[in-house]
Amino acid sequence: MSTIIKILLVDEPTLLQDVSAVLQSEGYAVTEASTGQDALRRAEELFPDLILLDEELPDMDSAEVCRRLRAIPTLEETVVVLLSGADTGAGDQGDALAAGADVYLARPAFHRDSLAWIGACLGSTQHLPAGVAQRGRERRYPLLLNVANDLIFCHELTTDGSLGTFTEVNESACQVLGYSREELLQMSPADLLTAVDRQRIPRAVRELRASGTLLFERKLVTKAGDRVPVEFHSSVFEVDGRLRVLSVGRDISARKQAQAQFRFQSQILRNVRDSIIVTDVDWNITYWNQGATAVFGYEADEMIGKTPAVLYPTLNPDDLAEDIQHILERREYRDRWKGRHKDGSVVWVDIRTTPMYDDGGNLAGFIGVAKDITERVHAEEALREANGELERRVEEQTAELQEANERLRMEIAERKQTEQTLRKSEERFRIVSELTSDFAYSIRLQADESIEFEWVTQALTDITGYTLEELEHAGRDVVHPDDFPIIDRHRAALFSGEEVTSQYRIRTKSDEIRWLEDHGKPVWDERGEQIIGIIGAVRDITERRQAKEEVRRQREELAHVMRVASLGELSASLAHELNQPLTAILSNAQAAQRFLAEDQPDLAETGAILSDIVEDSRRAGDVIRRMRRHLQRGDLQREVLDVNELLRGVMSLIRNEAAANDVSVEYGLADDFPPVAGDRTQLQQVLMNLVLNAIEAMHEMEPGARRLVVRSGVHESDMIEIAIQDNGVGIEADVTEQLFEPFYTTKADGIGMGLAISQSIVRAHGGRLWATPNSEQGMTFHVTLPVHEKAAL
Amino acid sequence: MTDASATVYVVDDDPSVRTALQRLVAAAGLRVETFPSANAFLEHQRPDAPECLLLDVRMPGPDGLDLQEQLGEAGIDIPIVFLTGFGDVPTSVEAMKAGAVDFLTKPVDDDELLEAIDRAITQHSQIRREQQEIATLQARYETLTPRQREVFAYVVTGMLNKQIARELNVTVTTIKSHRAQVMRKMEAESLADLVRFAERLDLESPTE
Repeated sequence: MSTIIKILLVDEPTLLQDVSAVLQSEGYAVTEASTGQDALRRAEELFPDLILLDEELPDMDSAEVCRRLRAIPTLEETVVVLLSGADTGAGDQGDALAAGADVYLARPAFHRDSLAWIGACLGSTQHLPAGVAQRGRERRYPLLLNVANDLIFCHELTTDGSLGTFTEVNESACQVLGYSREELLQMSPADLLTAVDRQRIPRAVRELRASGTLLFERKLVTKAGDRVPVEFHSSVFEVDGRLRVLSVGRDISARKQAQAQFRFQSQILRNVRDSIIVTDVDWNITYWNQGATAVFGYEADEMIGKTPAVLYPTLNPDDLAEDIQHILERREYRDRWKGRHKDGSVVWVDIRTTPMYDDGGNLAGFIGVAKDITERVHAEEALREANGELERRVEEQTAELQEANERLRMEIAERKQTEQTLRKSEERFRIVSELTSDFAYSIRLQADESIEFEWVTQALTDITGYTLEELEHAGRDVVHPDDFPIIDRHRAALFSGEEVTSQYRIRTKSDEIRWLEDHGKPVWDERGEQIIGIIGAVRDITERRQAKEEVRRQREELAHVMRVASLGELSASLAHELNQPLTAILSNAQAAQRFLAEDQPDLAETGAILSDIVEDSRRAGDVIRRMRRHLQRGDLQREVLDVNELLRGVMSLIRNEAAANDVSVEYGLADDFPPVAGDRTQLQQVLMNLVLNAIEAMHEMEPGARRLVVRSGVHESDMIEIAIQDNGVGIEADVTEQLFEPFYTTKADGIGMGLAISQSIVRAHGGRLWATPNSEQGMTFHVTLPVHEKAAL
Repeated sequence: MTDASATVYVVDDDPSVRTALQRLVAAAGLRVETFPSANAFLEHQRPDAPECLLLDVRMPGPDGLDLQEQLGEAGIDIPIVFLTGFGDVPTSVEAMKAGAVDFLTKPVDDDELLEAIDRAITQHSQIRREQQEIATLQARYETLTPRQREVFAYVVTGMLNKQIARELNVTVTTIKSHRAQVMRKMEAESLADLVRFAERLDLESPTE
């Protein structure tokens, strides 16, 4: 070749890499492109002699690329070869050729012998046979002619689909088949085929006619009866209105043999699970098998041309030099190396390296076989660790066992001691209770019905402080006056012959009140007719009573606080009861508005709605009335109350609330005024409600400026007045009356019941609740309550 | 406004509230049916149409939240607008978590109520549309052969025909033919359609 032939390869970079390398080594100028767009651009720049185009391009349809290539005038001489994906499909082939490709090649066939195909394709433009040359390009059929030793046959394709006799054969065909040219020109393709292959003719003809070209393999029978495998590329073309077939065949027996051997060897290499790496003398990798990929993670194309150093990053170069020395002394070199996988993990390999020599006995490179023993190494390590762990555990457990023993011993000793202590304390308890807690007595009834203590145990004095004489002298005055009725009942029961237990209070000599439980039993005379005395046991239950009292008090306090806080609760349940009628009223009213907005309002329906609204409004009113009745019913627990104490109690309950809201509280409580009578809980609820309202009203104020004033005093002559004053937002003077109406609220989340209920409560007490705006800022709420003497108890 | 075939179901134990809500919803041009209890509603046969449930929280017997739970367990995805006399936070949180569309406090303003209903019905129509689309796609998908389904799964990952061919060890032509069949059977006009369908059908990516 006098000029350099330019080839443009268009495919995914990885797929044609080896082809590119082979072509370059043969002296072709190869340019690569990966997309259709890229291909068009490069083709215009380079005017390549041949474009090898992959059928499937990422961005464009390959037929479209062909069309556009053909539209470029400078590329008229360029041969466009289209490579199919996996094998040829008749339709695709037709499309591609119609679009302007010169040759449509099956990829497997191309890869088997890319050089020969390229040569054939190029040759076809340079050595066109007469008669075919002129029409070659225009007719767009592949032109493959005599190249080297190819067998070339030409025969007719008759209209009925049968094959005509050969019209042309070349020298190679004669040589290979052993027939003379004259003999062959008397024969048809069927005569050269085996019986089996003859049956495949109709199908091949069909495909050939459909697509214009066909690639296939057949065994040809020679004159001597031998069989020669031949790969054919057949094309059909038209000469003078008749269809002819041009078949270019290649004797592939040698290739078949080589292929078989190569397949065999490469299969072995592929299937070997060990890594096999071949390098040249400079340690550049020239071969990398799949085993190497499996072991190290790198693909062949990542490693070819590189050195294996990256695989063994921990290897010391000096050691390596020594190793190489070993290898060069033709000694096979074996070692265990620590390698690194592509993903960074450690790979342990047993490596075996041998030098490789060419035919002349010169060092050509090295072959390294590495066996992945990572798992084995890990297993060995794990075993070692497991052994160590086992030993450590045995040691640990021995220690634990000893410790547990020790603990057990100590626990046993401790338990013994505890038991002893318990026994001791039980005994002590018994002694103590015997000695101090109870006292027993025996009383003899005199004839004059007076009583005389027969005996009393010592504990009497321990509990009461009195001696027996003192007690006899004091008589029942020792007992708390409030409990005289209990003592009387107790005695009466005894004298009527009952056994009885009573609890009463006594005043001890040291003026303490103590609770006693007195269990008495009558003593009958011998005939069982008359009571002659009483024996009894008395126990000091003061502590028990006190504890009980404390619990009761706490419980009451809790209930009280809950009751005080329950004004909100009451409002909530009220809200629920009221919500139903209110919902109905609102929805009915809005439905009516919609009805009335229509062109022809349904007045009957609107009337029904209005009746329902009236009904539900009454229902809502009933709820309110019921609540008021409930509050006014004589459920009031009236007691005499000191208003100041009441106020202090409320303020202590809301102290936290006030502090949390940065509200300062000032008191202006009058010193000396008469008490009121009323229900403590309900009045506390009212005051608390007012105070909480006041705090809430000051939310808008600066935190430092929130001031709450609580005052008490005499109002007129027979009323006590309480005033709760805030400096909050306040309200207009003309709505102060509305404040107390149900559901009037100024709070975003209020339901407007607090003040209404409060007013009901105050009224039930015979007092008044009202509000006045302050002269400067905020509101004052006033509560008056009648003084005790005038209150209706 | 909303679909005319849509129905609003009102469940409230208070007859006057029930009647008033019925009037209001009907006045807004919607079909409405009322029930005095959760059980009465559950026993009712509802047509397959867009719908919405206006549900009172506090009711004797099974309350609103109970009904919501029962509907959820039965797989009935009717959107629920809750009405409560006293909108306490924990109840509403519970209801919203269980998928309520809205939680309104009684007494409720008509605009607010009708907006909530509209939202609920729109949401339900949309769910129904999506379910129908998925059912249609599913039916189309059923007509694919196992091989076509395989090719479908690969195609929507964006792989080229030749890559799929290599993966499945068949020819590009075969893949092309399968691909065409898949497009035709799934009634997809483009690869984008097909990818969208695969998402709708929740197809798994081909396994390695």
